[in-house]
Amino acid sequence: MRLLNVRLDEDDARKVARLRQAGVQISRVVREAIRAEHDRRIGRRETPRHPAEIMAEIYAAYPDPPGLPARRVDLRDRRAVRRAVLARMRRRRA
Amino acid sequence: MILLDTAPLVALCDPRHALNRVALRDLGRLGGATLVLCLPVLAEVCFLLPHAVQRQRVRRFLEEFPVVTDRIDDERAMWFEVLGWLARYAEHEPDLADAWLAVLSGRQPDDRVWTYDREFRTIWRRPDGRRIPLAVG
Repeated sequence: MRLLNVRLDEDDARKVARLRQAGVQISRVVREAIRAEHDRRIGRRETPRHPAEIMAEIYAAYPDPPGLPARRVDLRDRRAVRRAVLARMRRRRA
Repeated sequence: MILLDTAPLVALCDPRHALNRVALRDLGRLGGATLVLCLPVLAEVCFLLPHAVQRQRVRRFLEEFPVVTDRIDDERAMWFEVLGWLARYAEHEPDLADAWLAVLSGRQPDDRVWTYDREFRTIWRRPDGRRIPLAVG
């Protein structure tokens, strides 16, 4: 993914700080604004994006934090899924 | 429409999971079909993806793709159908999400189920005894 730097005046910088405090992800606001403006001025793309492209964007926007263990639940085995769900429930109640 | 089971959604929203590539491939093959997500499946997904960032991915997935909730006119009647289905298959110890998807499939006969759970091929049937049509594999 490419990086875009945007210069902000003091007023906009204050607004960004307030949005961040409210839990708004600024990068997402920028991406949505770019897409909306692109659609308005240039038109919607004729071919929809490939799902893998959208998922890659999601993975990039929300990466695993360091140290997060990889899942080892066999999702094809519903008993393994059940054990994982029950283990999680027990941990919550303990 | 495609009835979404737990495993594909978990695999899609966990890029390090062994099934992630398979789920991405299948998502591409489904070609933008509308996905139906029911609450029992979402509950299982939240148990299996407990970290905040994993759930943010789930949320973003639901925003980016055509995912709708299951439309049930009489949810109370659905509960009893689901409980009846669970009782019928009790010896196999099915879970609520299995039952919900099987009953939903019976109510919406044109829909297919996207699952990696082998019991949907081998054991589970619609309430009327017919096979459950699958979306992949």
